[in-house]
Amino acid sequence: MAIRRALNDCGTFSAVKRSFFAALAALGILTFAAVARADDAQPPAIHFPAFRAGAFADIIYTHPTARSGKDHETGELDFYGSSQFSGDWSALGEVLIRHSGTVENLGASNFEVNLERLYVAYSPSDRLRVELGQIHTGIIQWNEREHRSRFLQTPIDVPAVAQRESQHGAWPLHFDGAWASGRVPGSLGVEYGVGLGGARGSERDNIQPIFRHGISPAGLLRLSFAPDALTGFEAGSAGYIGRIRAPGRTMRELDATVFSSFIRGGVELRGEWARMAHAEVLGRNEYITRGWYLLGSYRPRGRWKPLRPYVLLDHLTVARGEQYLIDVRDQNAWSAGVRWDVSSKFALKSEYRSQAVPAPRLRHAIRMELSFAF
Amino acid sequence: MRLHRLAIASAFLLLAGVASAAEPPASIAFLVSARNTMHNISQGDLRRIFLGEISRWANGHRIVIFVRSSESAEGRLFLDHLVRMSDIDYSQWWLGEVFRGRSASAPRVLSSDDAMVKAVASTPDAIGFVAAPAAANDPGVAVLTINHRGPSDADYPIRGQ
Repeated sequence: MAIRRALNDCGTFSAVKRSFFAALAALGILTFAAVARADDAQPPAIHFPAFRAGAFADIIYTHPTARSGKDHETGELDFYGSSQFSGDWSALGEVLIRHSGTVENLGASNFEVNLERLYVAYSPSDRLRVELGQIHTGIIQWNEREHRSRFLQTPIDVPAVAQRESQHGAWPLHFDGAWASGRVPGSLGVEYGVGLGGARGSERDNIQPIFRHGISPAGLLRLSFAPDALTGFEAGSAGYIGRIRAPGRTMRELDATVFSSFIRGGVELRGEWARMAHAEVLGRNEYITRGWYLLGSYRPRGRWKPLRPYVLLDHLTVARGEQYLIDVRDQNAWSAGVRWDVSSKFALKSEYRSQAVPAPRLRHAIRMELSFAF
Repeated sequence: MRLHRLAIASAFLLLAGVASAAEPPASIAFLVSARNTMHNISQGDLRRIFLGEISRWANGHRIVIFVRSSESAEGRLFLDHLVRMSDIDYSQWWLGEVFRGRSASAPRVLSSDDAMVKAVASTPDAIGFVAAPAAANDPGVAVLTINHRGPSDADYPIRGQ
């Protein structure tokens, strides 16, 4: 279950915020200093049980080009820990701490703490891996099924279809349940995934415990292939079915996505199209929400290889009159920028973003992100 | 104003942080322990092993991956012709693999071909690679053929230009 704590308009919060970013900066500097030594060091051999912990952190600074706009900052700390009990059994937990606020008004800040993933996994072979607990549904691929951490993605922004439920995202990215996946041997590189968990409840950003009374089951099927004949290419599709029990009405949910990517020799192309249908069980209304994104980037060879210029197109059309998605906004945006990998664990990104419709604060902005892996 | 300062500082750091490269060897040989029953592998499966997508041998044992540093000529040939990623992308790929829970750890980086041969010979479930001539006469390791081609064959797939 997601734990969410929002602190709004708190007068004493500016000190907390300053401490938060100071800690981020200090951690980043320490990591940057340690990277040069760590690159040449040999990691120790694994003995079970093996525990591993890590974190990603970033700070995004947004400067709107309009004079009336306000500078905006957000930051994330993404902690994860995994334990390998044996060759087959492991567990993983991930907690995301997110902060946002305006530069001009340090008091108007918002903090969120979310449990992203917590599961036990059993993987007897490459053909079968079973995860039990709070997991990602996999309905949206974005840069991978486990799509958190902005450090691991090329651009600054997460596309609208891949936004988390608690950040005005529309798609069900998490559920409590089980996920079975694996790879089918062969040159086609076929991978499958089957999920079963609790469907969404009346609040979109509240992950429902699967055994809570009144929660319907949700199912997910995912299939992809990455043929040997086309190194770096992958394409696939996913479908999600569930029943939303919202106060006063129940809706059937049927989501479908198609995704493809090509990543080879510095070229990165990613695209995904997603459709969400909510149909009233006792009524005639059906609400269709659609979204897509395209990402293209290129890492040159030689001396310029730390740089990766990119372009992201991001589109979302929310169904009109859909009360369940009342806080989800249409999106029609593009951004162009450069990711600079100072090291394998420290990246600096900057971009120009144009957001045409009807974003809460911005139309055009210059943005910068510092991101780290620990 | 704050943004301008940050942009200037970034440009300065960028100009100071670029590096050069050296010529790769003619080819690299992929090694397994002499006790491993595998003698041939497809190029696609070999790539999947080094990306962590295939994590077990046919006998169910977990594969232990050794690589050379991207600073070495062997490491660059490996990245350019098998993985087809830059060293930065390969390193971040493995950060993601561990973060996603699919792997317990990233590959071990070894500092020389001698160290690689010794490590593979002493680890029954290991795979690694060396410059082709370095693999010649160690009884503890076996050289894999790729798509039934050996490192000395003209059409061996992992060759330099």
